[in-house]
Amino acid sequence: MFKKMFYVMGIIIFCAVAFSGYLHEQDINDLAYVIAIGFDIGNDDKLKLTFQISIPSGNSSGSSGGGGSSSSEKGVSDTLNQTVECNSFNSGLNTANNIISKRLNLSHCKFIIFSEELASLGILDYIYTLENNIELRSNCNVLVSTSTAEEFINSSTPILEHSTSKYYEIITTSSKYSGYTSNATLNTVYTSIVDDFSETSTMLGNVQKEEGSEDESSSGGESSSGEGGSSDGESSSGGNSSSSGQTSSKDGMESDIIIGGMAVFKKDKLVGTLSKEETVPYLIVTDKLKECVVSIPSPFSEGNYIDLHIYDFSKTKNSVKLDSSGPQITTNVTLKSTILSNDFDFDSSSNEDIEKIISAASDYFKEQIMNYYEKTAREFKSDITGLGKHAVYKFPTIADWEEYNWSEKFETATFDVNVQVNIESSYFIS
Amino acid sequence: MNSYKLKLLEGIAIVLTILLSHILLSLPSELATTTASSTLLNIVFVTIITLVFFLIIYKLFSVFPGCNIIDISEFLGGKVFKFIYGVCYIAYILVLSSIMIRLFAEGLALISFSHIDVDFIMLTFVIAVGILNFFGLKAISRLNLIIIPLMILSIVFIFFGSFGEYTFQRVFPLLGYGLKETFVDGISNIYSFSGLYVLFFIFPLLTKISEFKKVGIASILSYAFFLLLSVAALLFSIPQIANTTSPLSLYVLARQISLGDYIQSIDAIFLLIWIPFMLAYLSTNIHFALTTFKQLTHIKYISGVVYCFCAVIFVISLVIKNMSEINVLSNVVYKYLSIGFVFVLSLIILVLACLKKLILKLLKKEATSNV
Repeated sequence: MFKKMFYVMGIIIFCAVAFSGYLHEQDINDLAYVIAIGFDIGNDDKLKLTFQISIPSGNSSGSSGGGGSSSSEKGVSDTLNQTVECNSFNSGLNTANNIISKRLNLSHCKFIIFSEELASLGILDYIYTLENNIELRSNCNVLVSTSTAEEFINSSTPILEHSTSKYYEIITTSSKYSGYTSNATLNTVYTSIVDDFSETSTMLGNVQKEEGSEDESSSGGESSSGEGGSSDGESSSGGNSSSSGQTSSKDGMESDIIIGGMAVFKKDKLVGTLSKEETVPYLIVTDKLKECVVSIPSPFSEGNYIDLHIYDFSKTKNSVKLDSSGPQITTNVTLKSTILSNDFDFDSSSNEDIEKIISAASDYFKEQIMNYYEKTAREFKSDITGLGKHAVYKFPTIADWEEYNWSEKFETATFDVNVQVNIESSYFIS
Repeated sequence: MNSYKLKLLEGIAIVLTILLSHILLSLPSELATTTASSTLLNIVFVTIITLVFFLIIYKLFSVFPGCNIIDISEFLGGKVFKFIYGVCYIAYILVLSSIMIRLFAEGLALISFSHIDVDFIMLTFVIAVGILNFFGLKAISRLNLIIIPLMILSIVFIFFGSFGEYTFQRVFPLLGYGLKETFVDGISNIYSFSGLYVLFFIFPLLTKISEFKKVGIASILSYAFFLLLSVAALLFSIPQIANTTSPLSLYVLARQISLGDYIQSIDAIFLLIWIPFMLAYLSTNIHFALTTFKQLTHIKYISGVVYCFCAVIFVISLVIKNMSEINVLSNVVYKYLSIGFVFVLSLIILVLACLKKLILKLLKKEATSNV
């Protein structure tokens, strides 16, 4: 009996292994791997999709094509960009499959890019569609581009990396040490859109064109250069940009992609942007900041700045008190820092000078956080911090919570921010 | 076929196999739909009720040592009642298995086998289940013992693996839709324990009758714990859970898990565990349908019936056309059928049988004293 079963199983396994090559549904040669998808508004209010497809090493002559409407030449690249106009995401995917004669696979997609224009109309339908796509990973990054998504993708050629895919992985990590942007994945965007007590925010990117030409970037991230006295302005590539890649477009201009700042949503619609400097207070109050360097106005000489390295945060404590006038929000922040500037204006071994720096730093961060709160509450009317989380437990039932309408009440919230800065150590040589 | 006796762990594994299959499928999201943010409270409440229910049936069963529910129904209503009740039980098990196999196959087709007809996936399952049942209770029990720890591991791993996505405040407002909806209407969520029907059959299969209580309590408490973990993970991770209608609730969480930059997608590993688990579940279900059939018909060679039952399950699962029909079947038909059949009717039969036994005992006593 068992001998018979053994033979039958053996035959089944042999057939399965031997004939699998002939009966395959698809293999790796039938697939093309998408590493970024761009969403734009096309002609006649149609959707314009741009797929950035990885070219396997050895074939990377690099090209770009416009399946329907647009294309732009690129230099040597390991990606192929395919743009199609369509009515929906899935029909666009199908059209692109047809054009490149391979099945596009989204399982290695690293970035989803929405143009600012499209994001302001609402992205919920797209996010639902993408979230339901079984190939797309929920940790895929979402970004809003102030230029078109197509232009953004066409400009994203890495300088310091060989692979665009690797480049996309690396640029998101810069937020960990720069504090100039905050990663948003497909999953976090989806959950915060449908959540009752927080709103969505994503990374902000734009394309900067150079070669003596005027800067074409409309700049969420760059608009407030100089704000708060801590900005360094924007350099061409690398420099203080959060992340950048560079490519030559067909008009001969060099174009960079710059990722920095944040796009702020109310429900699923883009309502505004935060600059890179305004992103730091967001990261502080949401406990997402790992480390960053901040320049604060020097208390010793006007016009000078002191650089502080901020790291190792204690957990920010947010609390919400509800009364008839609206929510009263209290934020207690404790920051640990070291002084980076080597300045003759002050003596880092003097307790008095250190106290002055601590006071100036505390005032600076308090002002920055207050400005951030005012901007999100009054201007954007959007609780991207998720302060509603600290209010929801005060309501016994969902009906009570919905009746209170946190989203509306947040606009009238008052804020009380307390910042304590501890300076731990200073120079190696003084 | 029933000569093999179950040890304590094997008994617990069999009950858990039937119970945990519901966690794997759409149960966590269905519970969250009914009671929203108060689901965790509701599960604790329903678990307490189930424990009380079990202690009652334990007391009632102890009046009939070595009998299962079919034997007790014969004692209560004679052979005709036993036959009707037994046929209903077989129908319940086969319909339940059909819904589950269809739901799981739909989930698999959605995730991994989008190019394969769902009928072939179900057929593969049915054939495998038929072969497994051919080897009897011992083989099924051993498979359960192997697969249950893996299944538990997958639930615990998913709970801790999704930790990064948690927003614990999603458990508020604590009372969800309201006090009445959580504790009065929410009682209907007791159907999540409907897999306990196995306990009605397992009593005579245990090596020691005293272990029945241990099997029951250990199964209920451990299942409640894993149900809490699964629902908590789903509630903490996904807002407005009412909108989630995936045939595989746990998969929604599993696909979020990534272990660093190198292992970014491990959902296939979970499927590798869940497929044999579903085989174990279906085999166990069919085994109890066969046991009941043998009790009703006194058939000598039950092996041939295995394939008939497998064919019935396959045909019923083919009748279901699409996901909306599955949702109606699992959310409405199965829910209220289970409550009525497992919790209400079985309890009534047990209570009436005990009363009958008590009355007969009194009459016998009276007759003896008269003599």
